[in-house]
Formats: sequence, C-alpha cells, structure tokens
Amino acid sequence: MKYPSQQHGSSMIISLTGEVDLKFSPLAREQILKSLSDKSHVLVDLSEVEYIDSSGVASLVEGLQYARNHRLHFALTGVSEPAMQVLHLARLDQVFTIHPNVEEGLDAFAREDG
Amino acid sequence: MKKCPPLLCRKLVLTVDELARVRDEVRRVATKNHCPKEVADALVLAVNEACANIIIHGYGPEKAGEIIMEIFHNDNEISVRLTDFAPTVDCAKLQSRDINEIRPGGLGMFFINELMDKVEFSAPESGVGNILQLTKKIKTEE
Repeated sequence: MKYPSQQHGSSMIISLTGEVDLKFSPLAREQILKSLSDKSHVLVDLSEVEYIDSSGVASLVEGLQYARNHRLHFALTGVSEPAMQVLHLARLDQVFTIHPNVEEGLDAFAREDG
Repeated sequence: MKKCPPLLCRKLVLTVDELARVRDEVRRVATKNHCPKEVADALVLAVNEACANIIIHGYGPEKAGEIIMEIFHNDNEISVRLTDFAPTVDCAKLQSRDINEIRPGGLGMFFINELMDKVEFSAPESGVGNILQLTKKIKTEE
C-alpha cells in the first residue's frame, strides 16, 4: 500500500487517508521522509483522514523536524475534524503550518520561495 | 464498578492489525450505552494508545501477545480494563513527557492522561503481566 502522492514542481503532495494508526503510520513516515530526502517540499493533505493516533502525529512531527533541519517547506492542508482534534490535544495545531486546501498550500510555498 | 459484570469481555491476540477492531468494539459498546460522542472518542483514542504501548513496549513490535479487554459501565462512568501477559512494566517509565518539547514519540501516555479521568496500573494476581484500567466520567458533576 502507498498513500496517493502528486509532484507539483518542487513540492510533493501526500494525501493520507482513512485511519493513520500504528499499522499505517510507518507508511506515512516513510513516504514523507523519502520525499523530503529527495529535496521536495512536502504538503500533507489530511482531508480524508478519519482517525489519527500518536504514531500518525509522530510521523508528521518527524517530517516537520526534517524539513526545518534541511531548509525545506512542510505544511498540512485540509485537516479533517478528527485529525484536528488530535493535533489540538497534542498542542501541535499551533506548531504546524496549516492551510485550508492544497492550492493555498502550494501558493504559500511559492511565496516563501519568492 | 468492578463488581458489576463487564459489558464486554474479549480475549484477543494483539497486533497492529487488531487495533481497528479494538477501536470499533470500544466505540460500539460506548455508543450503545449512551455515552456522548466526546466520551466515546476519548475512550477510543486512549484505549488505542494503551494497546499501542502494549504492542511496542510490552510484547515488542515483532511479537503478538494475548490481552483481555473488559468494558464496565454505570450511570456515571465507563471503564476499560486491559490485561496483558507481557513482562511487568515499570510505571515510572510510563509518565507523560513534556508536551512543550516538540519531538516525535512519547505522546501516547500524554494522550491517555489528558483524556481519562482515572488511569490505574496494577499487577494481576498471578504476578505475570500488567493491568491498566482507564475510566472516563460520563456526566459532569454540577
């Protein structure tokens, strides 16, 4: 299994779906870190996430830290309500850059590269 | 509460493949017993995190181990008791970490402590394994 992803110029959009738990979070982590190590900026679309646990959140935090350490952009987009509740619980809703949709996320990346 | 017969008593071999089923069972029982959605959501996430900890820190990620999941309920609270047969866990190592420290991992116990009203660790009478009881109040006391 692989999460849907799409390259847009220098940015990779990775769409996590369904239940991102201990079974599936290693896949999310692998895809996020692989894209970042390929020097892509990463936008993680969470609009189709029905459930996420601490292991899923950890894969996002790991991506954020890798991006910061390598001067790459990393942001979340379209965060579903269940995912937002968990990010809020982890006090991470103010730590991640969150865009309402993919288009705005890509625009923000382009502006930052300006 | 512990003297009441459990609403559910399930013995299962816990692996990452079983987590979705565990969540479904907890939600089903909570909803059937008129728990508000926020209570069911909290219980589902806390039990998921507890089971993930048993997989990672108890039996080890490469091994499957048996657990017993029991759910108790009364008018005021709902409780899930998880019994595993892994090596005894040092409770001191299961404390929540500093949430202001932004790093992956270690969030599971923080979630459990934030979401539950009572978190109790104990040892089974046999001396083998661990018991974790998670309790959530259903009605807010006025």
